[in-house]
Amino acid sequence: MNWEKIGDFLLSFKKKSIYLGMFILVSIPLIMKMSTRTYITEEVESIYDKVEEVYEYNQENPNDKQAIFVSIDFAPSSKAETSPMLNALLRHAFMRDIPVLGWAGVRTAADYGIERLNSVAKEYGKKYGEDYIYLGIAYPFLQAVLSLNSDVRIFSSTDYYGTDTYEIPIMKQFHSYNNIGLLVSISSTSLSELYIQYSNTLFDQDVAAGVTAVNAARLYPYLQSDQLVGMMGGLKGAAEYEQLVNKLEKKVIGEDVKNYLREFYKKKDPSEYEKKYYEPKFTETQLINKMNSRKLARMGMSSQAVAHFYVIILIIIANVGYFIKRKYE
Amino acid sequence: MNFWKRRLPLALTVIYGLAGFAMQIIPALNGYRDIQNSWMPILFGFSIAIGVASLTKYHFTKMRRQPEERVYSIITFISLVVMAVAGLIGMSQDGGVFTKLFDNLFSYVYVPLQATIFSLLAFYITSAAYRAFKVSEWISTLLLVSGFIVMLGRVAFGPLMVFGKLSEWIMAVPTVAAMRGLLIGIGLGIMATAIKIILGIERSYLGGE
Repeated sequence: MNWEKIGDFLLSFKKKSIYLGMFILVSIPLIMKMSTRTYITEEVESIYDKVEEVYEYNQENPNDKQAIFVSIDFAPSSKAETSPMLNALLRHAFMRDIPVLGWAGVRTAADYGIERLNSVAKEYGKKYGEDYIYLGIAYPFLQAVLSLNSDVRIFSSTDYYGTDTYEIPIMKQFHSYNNIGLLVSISSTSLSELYIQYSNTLFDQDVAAGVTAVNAARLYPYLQSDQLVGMMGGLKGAAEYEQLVNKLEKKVIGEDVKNYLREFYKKKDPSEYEKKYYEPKFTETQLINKMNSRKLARMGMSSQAVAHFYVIILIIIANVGYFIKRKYE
Repeated sequence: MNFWKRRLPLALTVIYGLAGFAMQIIPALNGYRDIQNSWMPILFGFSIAIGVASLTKYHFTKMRRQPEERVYSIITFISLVVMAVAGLIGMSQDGGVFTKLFDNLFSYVYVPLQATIFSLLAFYITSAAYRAFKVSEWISTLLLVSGFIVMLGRVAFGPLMVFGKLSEWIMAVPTVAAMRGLLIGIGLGIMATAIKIILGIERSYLGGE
C-alpha cells in the first residue's frame, strides 16, 4: 500500500470542498427542522430557579412585587445564539406574571428588543406600561447602570416610545434595584461583566447572564464566586432554558399550546389592547412561528452538533495524514 | 494655548476622578451621582458629533489621496448620511417614509450583513482547524484533546454524556483557574492606570508625551 499517497490525499482537501461540506451539513438539520434534547447544567437551572423564586415572592407579597430587568446587549450577528435565550426568559417571566423592565445596552439591539418584548408579551396578553416596559437604548451605558441604584427615571426620562417615564404605571413601583429581583444581561459583548462589577458588586443586585459561547469562558470565575446567579452559555445554554420553560409551560398551560394561543384572544375584548404594541389575535402563520420559536435553540443545537462532529472528523483526518507523512517521508 | 490644551483638561481629570471616588465612598455624596449621571448623556452627545466630524474628515481626505480606495469611502459616507437623515427625520414622523426607510435599511441591509460576516467564521474556522491543528508536541496534543472534549461535551447526548461531564469539569476548573489569573491581572492594570491618569502621571490621552 502506498502510504505516502494516502497521506497526501488526506492532507489535500481543498478549501472549497471543506466549505461546501460545512454548508450542506449545517443546512440539512435546519431545513428538516430537527431538534435535539440536551442535558441541564447547574448554571442554567439556577437562573430558572431564581425566576421561580421571584414568582413565589410575588405570590406571597402581592403589594411589594419584584420585577425582572432584562438588558438586551447583543448585536444582530449573534442573534442565533442569544435570541432564543431572550425568548425563553421572557416567556418564563410573562408566564409567571412577573413585571419585566428592559433596555438595550447596544444601539443595534434597540429596535429588536422592543420587537421581541411585544411579540412575547402578546402570547400572554401582557400590557405595555402595566406589565412590561422598554426604556430603549441605555446610553451612556455605565451611567445608565449606576442610575438604577436610585431612580432610573431621572436618567431615562422617556421610554422607547417617547412617553414620560414618570407617567408610566409600571415605573411608579419599579424604578430601582430595590424592586428588581433579578437582572439578566443577554449579551454578545462584555457588558455582562459591567453588570457584575457595578450592579452586583456595588449594589448587591442579583445578576445573571446569557452570553455567546465564546464569551462564556470569561464569566465562569464570577459563577464560582457567586457574583453571578447563573449563566446561559451559547446555544446550549439557550436550549437548556428553552427545555425548562417548555416543561413549565406544559404544566401551566397544558399540552396543546398552539390551540391555547389560537383561542387566547377570542375570549378577550380587543379594545383592551393598544394596537400600537401588538394586534390582539394570531394568524395561522404567526401560530406556526410561535411554535417554532419554542424549539429555536434546540433546532440550532442539531446544526451545531453536526458542525462540531464535522470539525472533529476533519482534524482527525488531517492528523492521520500528517502522521503518515511524517512516518513514511 | 497650553492652558486650554493641557492644564485645564488635566485639572478636570483630577477633579472629576477624585469626585468619582468621593461619591462612591462617602455616603453623603451619593446623591450627587444622579446629577453626574444626568450630565453624561449631554457629554456623550458631543462625542457623537466629534465622531461624525472625524469620520467625515478621514474619508474626505482618503477620497482625495487614495483614488483606488475612493469607492469604499464614498459608500461609507453615503451610508452615514442616508442613515442619519432617515433616522433623524423618521423620529418625528412615526410610520412615515423615512421611518420605513430607516427600519428597512437596518433590518434588511445592516442585520443580514452583520450576520453574514459572523457566519463566515464557521467556514474559516473549519478550514483553519483542518490545516493548522496538528499534533506535534505534547502541549498541542493536550489542547487538541481538551478542544475535542469541550466540542463533544457541548452537544453531548446518550453515550456521549461522559464528554458532557468532562467538558463541565474543564470549564469549571482549568478554565476558571486561567481566567481568574487573567482577570486579577487586568483588574490590577485598570486600577494602576486609573490612579496614574487621575494623578496626572499618565497624560498620553492629551496627545503627545
